[in-house]
Amino acid sequence: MHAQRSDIRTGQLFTLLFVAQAAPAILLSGRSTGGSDPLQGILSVGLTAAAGLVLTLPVLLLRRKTPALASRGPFALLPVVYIAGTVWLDGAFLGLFQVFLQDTVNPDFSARMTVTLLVLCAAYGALRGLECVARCAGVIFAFLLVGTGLVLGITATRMDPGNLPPPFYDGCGQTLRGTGLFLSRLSFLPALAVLFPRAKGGAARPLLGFAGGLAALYALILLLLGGCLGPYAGTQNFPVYALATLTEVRSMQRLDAVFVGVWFLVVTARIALGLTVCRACGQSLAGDRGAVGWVLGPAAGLLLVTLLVSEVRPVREVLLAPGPQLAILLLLGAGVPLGRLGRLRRAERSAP
Amino acid sequence: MENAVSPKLAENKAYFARAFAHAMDFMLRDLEVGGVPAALMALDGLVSKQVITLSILEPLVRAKRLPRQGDVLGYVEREVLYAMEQRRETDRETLLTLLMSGFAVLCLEGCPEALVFGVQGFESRGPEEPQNEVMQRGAKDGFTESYQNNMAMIRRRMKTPALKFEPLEAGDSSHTPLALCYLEGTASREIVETVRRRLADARLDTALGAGYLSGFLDRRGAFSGVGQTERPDVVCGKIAEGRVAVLVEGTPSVLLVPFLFVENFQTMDDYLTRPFYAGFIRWLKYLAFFVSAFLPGLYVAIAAHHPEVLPETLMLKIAQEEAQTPFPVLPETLLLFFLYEVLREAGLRAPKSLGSIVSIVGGLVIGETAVSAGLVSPISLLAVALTAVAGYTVPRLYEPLAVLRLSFLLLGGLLGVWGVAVGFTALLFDLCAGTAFGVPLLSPVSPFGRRPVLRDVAARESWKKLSRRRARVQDLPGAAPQTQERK
Repeated sequence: MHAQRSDIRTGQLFTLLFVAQAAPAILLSGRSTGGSDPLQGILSVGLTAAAGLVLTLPVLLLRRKTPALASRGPFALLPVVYIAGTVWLDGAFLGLFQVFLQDTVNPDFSARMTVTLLVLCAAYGALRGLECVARCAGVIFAFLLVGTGLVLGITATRMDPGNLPPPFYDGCGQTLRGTGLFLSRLSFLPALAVLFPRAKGGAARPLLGFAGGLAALYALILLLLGGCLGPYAGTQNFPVYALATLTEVRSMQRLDAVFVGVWFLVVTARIALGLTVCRACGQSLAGDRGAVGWVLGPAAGLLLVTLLVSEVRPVREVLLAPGPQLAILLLLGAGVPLGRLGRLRRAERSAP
Repeated sequence: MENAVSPKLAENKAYFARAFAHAMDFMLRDLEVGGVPAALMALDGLVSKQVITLSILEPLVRAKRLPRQGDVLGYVEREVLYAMEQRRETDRETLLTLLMSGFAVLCLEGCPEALVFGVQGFESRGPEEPQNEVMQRGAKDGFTESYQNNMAMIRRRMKTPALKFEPLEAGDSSHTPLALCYLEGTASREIVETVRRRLADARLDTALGAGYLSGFLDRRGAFSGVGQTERPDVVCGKIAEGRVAVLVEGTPSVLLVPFLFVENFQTMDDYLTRPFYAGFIRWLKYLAFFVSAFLPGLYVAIAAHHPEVLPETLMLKIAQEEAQTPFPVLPETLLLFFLYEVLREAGLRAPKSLGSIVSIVGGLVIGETAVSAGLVSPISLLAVALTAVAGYTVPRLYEPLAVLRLSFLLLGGLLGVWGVAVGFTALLFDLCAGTAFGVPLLSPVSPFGRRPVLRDVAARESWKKLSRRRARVQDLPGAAPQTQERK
């Protein structure tokens, strides 16, 4: 993709990626951690964070060589692959989020309409530009810290270490399975590959803060799930929501609606980031023309994937399968930058 | 040139007489100046007749014989007249505009130029305490309709030659005079140039108030990037931070650009009270803003869709009240809002003598009777009343708040807390996307700047600390323009 002007700082970009990558935390369950042992889950989170740092290296190194991710030749059509990958990953996530709303929260109004409104709102943000989405993510980050801190802080008082199973009682297979599953949810990698050239400033501290903060958030949630819910967590489709329903501030006994409300902000930011990636890819193909189409087109595709995932069970199984998701993430997030880096190295060596 | 002043006095007189045909305020006095026929013209009501008589007519009539050759007008300028503000003009169209701005015009036989004198003397209102920006401790004088008086009020407070007032004009028919006010060396050259260009490009037939022009300076969106104030001390404070003010003849409001979102919460009193109290009031206003924007939406969302969030006693109370009213909570709250806005508008527009009647009818008859008749529940009434009162703590934001709270009310009623959350995100996108003259509207909150936030957003630092470092709007995080010194 072509070089873009610098319009945000790396700190802003990693804050945006943090918010986007925190969004799936509300959907955490035994299926997404590979088992019910929270301590092994935390270990998986740590390993995923380390692996995630390694996977970002090609993008970081590539920026030192050239600000552009791809240009001509075999890379010319890559933006289309990035758009398709983003629509798939975000659509699958949103579909699961809609399932969570319909089946677990079960509101007395249409969850589909709410999700459609959410996508439209995210599209509006993407149309206003990366700078807008990144600034907005800064504010949402503050809400996320306060909202999550409040809910998790209150539920922490109900923590009972007796609820935690003995570590590694079932071998260490869950750690490996969980690491693989967590890796398949690292949707920030393609976004980083596309948007990192547009950020200015050093990357080391923001990246470490991003990885460390995210690992801490997931680890805390897993610990509280195990410590507060115990084996009950394994019986829930979405145990994080079950954890939020335990929140009690004096006579206010249920703050889960507020918790889900905060998560709506987070999910909107994530979808807006995905649509911004689509817009950036579209612009690298067609210049500044048709920005609206490059946002609304993928938004429509995203709604279609969401509908399929939430309504058609076999499609859900295929689109949410961790294997293909991991493959596309590795390809777009690390493979393409690595390939580009290799070509540049070869070009440098062959130059007289 | 068709519009050039003619050396023949009769032609000039005929031109002006034609231009002001059927205009009874047009005054033309024929006279002889040192034996040369002349005509003095002015518009009644715009000039001071006393000044014209003493400073212009008397010296002209008493003038000795004028030289027959050479620069006759120059001789009159140098040797005859005492006027402080006078200049030559050759274009008759310009002379027309000057006449309508309170200048007197002197044409002499044989001279292809005219002399104009600034002898404005129209009646104007004296400075009074601004009705829309009442302060507890600040100065009590406010701007008036005369932009010249307003310039003087600013100049009295900023005794520095760096204070500039650039003349501009708006309105093809009204030719409304404007003044671009800024501090040279403090204001960004780019911002000044952008304001100048946008005002010059403003295509208006008439400019009868500052609001006519703010649209040409402003961004699209819920929150404005152009501020208005009626207080000279506020203008001085703002231009000291690198902002640009636009004074418009005929209006007591001065435009301020760029105007950021956080400035809506700042008042002059904040800087005149002790920092801890200013900080406390600042947070009270932030809270009031959120209450005013979100309370009705959240109330309806929680009452209609998420009652489990509420404490049990309150939930039962709301359920009991709602059971006794004919409408569900959303239409009931909408009805109350409609009534409140109607009453507010009526109170604002009604003649003063009827104001108390509107209050009685609104407050007692509608409010009290609607509750006692069981049409609306007291809790809904309380939510709407609290929202309305909270909104008045940030009066500058009343207009966007009125529309926003209605939007959040509908979203909350239809989609619960999630609808409000999505609406809030859309609002955040709008705020975050906005820039006012290259400065992000939400700066220094996002993009975040620790120093400016601690200085005058999250708290108000003491004057000892504030005065240590000059804060300029173009230095805020994310701002594009540069100061003149840095260029």
